[in-house]
Amino acid sequence: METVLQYFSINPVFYIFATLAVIFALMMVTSENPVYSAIFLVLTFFCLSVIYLTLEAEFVAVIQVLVYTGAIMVLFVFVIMLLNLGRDAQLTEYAGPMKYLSILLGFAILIQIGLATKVTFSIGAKGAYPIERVNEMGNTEAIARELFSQYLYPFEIASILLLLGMIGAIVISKKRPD
Amino acid sequence: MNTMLSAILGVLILFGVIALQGLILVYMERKVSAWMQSRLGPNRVGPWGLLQTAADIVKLLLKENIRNERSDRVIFFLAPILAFVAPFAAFVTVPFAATIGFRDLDMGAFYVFALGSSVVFAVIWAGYGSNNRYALIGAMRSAAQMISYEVPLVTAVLGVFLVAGTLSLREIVQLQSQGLWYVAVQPLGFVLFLVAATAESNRAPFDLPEAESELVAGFHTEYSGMKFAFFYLGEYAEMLVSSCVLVVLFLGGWLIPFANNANVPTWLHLLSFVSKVYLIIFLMMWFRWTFPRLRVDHLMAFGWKVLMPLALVNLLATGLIVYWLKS
Amino acid sequence: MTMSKSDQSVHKRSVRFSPERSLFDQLPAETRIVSRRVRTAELRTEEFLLNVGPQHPSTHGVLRLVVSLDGEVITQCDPDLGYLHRTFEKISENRTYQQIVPFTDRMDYLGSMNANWGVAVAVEQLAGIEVPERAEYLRVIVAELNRIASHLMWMGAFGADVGAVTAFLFGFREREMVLDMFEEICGSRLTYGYIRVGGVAEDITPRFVKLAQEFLDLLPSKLNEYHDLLTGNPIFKQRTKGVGVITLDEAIRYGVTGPMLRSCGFPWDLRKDEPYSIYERFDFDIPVYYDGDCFDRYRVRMDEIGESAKIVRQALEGLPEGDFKVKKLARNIKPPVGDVYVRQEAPRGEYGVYMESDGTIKPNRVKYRTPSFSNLSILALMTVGWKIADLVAILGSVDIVLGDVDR
Repeated sequence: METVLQYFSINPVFYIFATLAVIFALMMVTSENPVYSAIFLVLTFFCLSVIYLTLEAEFVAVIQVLVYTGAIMVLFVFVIMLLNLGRDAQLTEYAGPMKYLSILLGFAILIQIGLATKVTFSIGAKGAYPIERVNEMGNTEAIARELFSQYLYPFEIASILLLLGMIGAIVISKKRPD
Repeated sequence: MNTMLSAILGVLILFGVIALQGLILVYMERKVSAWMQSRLGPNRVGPWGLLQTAADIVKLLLKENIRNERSDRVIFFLAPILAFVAPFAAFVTVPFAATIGFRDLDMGAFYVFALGSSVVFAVIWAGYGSNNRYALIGAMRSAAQMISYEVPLVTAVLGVFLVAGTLSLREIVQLQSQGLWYVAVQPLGFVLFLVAATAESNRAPFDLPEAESELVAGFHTEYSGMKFAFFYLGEYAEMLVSSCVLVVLFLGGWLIPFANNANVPTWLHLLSFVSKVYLIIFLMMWFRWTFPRLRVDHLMAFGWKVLMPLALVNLLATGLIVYWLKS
Repeated sequence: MTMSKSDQSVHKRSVRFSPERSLFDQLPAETRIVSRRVRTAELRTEEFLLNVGPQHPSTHGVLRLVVSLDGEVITQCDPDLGYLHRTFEKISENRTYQQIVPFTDRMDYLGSMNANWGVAVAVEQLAGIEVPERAEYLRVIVAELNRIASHLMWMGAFGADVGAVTAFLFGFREREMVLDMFEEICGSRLTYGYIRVGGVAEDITPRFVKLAQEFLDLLPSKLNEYHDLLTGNPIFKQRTKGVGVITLDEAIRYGVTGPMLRSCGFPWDLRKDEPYSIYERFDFDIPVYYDGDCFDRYRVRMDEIGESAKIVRQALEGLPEGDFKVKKLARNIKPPVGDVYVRQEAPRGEYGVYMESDGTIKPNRVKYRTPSFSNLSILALMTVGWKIADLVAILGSVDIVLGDVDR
């Protein structure tokens, strides 16, 4: 308990938003109404972006909101509303006994994460871009340098994948019986 | 604690300024529309009707808050708050003058777009939470519209970033003081941004989520009183913030044209900034009171088939030219 | 679906909706027709029932439309009338012949002069009353001015329907001048009661003539202003061109008349084809367009404003001296037994009055054939397959007056 308070006093913003993120994530999974789930997912993303901000990763924080909340989740909500149009369509399918197994697995993963983070918690391996250097050269530039030099191929592959997805969507929606 | 206090004070000042701007803009919109439609506009409350909007705010405050019986209490309540908070928060990074502004973020422009894109959730929540079919249709339109216009909006601005080599709004203005304003460097980008920003802030002719003649009042059909006022204020705040960004990115921010900006007092810079912003807002009002409303499929087609290719061409050309100049 | 087989065979208007269940569930399956324009997609989403009206900014009164939507596309549109029904036909049967006229003001309240005129002519024909020539000229002048006012009002409302609110005020601005003229001659700005049995209520004044001249001189420049604001606007064209198309065949089968029929390429105008009053003395054209869409309806009406102005100008020039009404008219007219059907070209289309006399001071049977009602009947056909935004534009292009629809 004491250690928790200690950590909390170091970075209260992180703990508040981390807790909120977990709560919203849980509510996202447990709410029966898909629209609610989407809303809680949006809130989770907001909390995550605040956590990024505490890590001084402003670019990631902003992109998190811009891409995930502003674009992807809007599409999610759009599709959900298009399909259901109202609150009477709730998720009624339950997983049955699988539910308990998944809870068990979830706890196992939680403990695992806890154990893993305990070891390297406040130290953190310093990479090529420590905070000082990032602040000096600017967040965006740091990411851009890495993304377009070392990670250029993964980046290009990801964009090709997205392009494929886009073309696939167009092909599927264009198909007509006549 | 000192930083906390100054932050709170700053937010309060900002809120006061934005709220006042909201009042002024509503009055301006009425007078401009009246002028375009050969009417008089408000002229009864106060001199030249100046206090009309203040009177309206009082009326809205006193109005009963009506909520649909089967509406979603929480979502219905949250939507107007988000509608105002998001554009309001975007002002944090806007540099009003060389020394006035809250925080100069590294990717200030993207921060503004990110908050602008969250406004759509206010609209969607309002539409879903009101349990009203017009509101729902408005929300659906809004979702589709925001997605479609955000892409050209951001793509149009990328040209400016390429030229400037930075995302910081303050630095972009400072760079413009050394040479041409970016409206001259990026004329296509300017037009695209103006159109897309009008669409992003749901202004006519892109006001489909509201679409008064089709959807009664669209997503805020069920809102009244102060909650409605928040939507209203949010719309003007959003219009204000997109005009601010437009001025900063393309029209040299606080810079005064044809003058040595180094030794000009700050208040003149501020005046220059405000007058540019109001010019852009006047332009947006002009759009609204001249054009008919687009239809939803035309809107999509326009966004994806006209704005988007143009923005891409603009980006490609800018990239090539910048590369050629640098090498 | 709890509806029995026999229930379903009944015409769909007789379907009873219970308030407890959602309207959509209760709609019989065969009423959800999929139109020729709706593509059957593989992924079908749920249909969505929208109640447009009776209180809605764009239903031009109290019209209720039950609209089924697939996304934004209309799969069915069912107009529900009667919210403004005031039994004018029955009331007319219980009034003396002169007393009927003011009620007609309240039917087509934007074209009251024409509405008055039809009844006046019907009574005159029944009773064999000869109207002085000056009265006929005055009737033509006010009726055509009223047509201009009505079309201006329509242009404004149509502009507002497609989102150009400024057009609304522009239309009203010029309509105001016509209303000023009407106020000058009959003291009223909306329900005139000016054309009466045996002539008109009052003679025109010199100020009326002056106002009319000013208006006619101003009108061409104002028309150009409207064309600048609307006709040339690409968004306006996009919103109206090719939208809500009806073929000539459909228009004739549905009994569509007036500008809507003329926009389908059929130059049918009673002022030319069955000239009544003194219309054959004037030189004017019947504007015809061929696409039958909203844009052509708009163009027909805009052109008609100019043609009406031409008629008014000629009528003012040729206005003869003389009486403006029949000198001696019995307080209670007792026409001989018989019946008459009078039809005229009102701003909205063919306006007909059927009147049957049994020799007493009140008509035995009165029936009004109002253009708005017939033109509205084709709405269900026109809107299917279009978007909800088009519904408003198409409804606007029909130019209905709910008082005229429901009577």
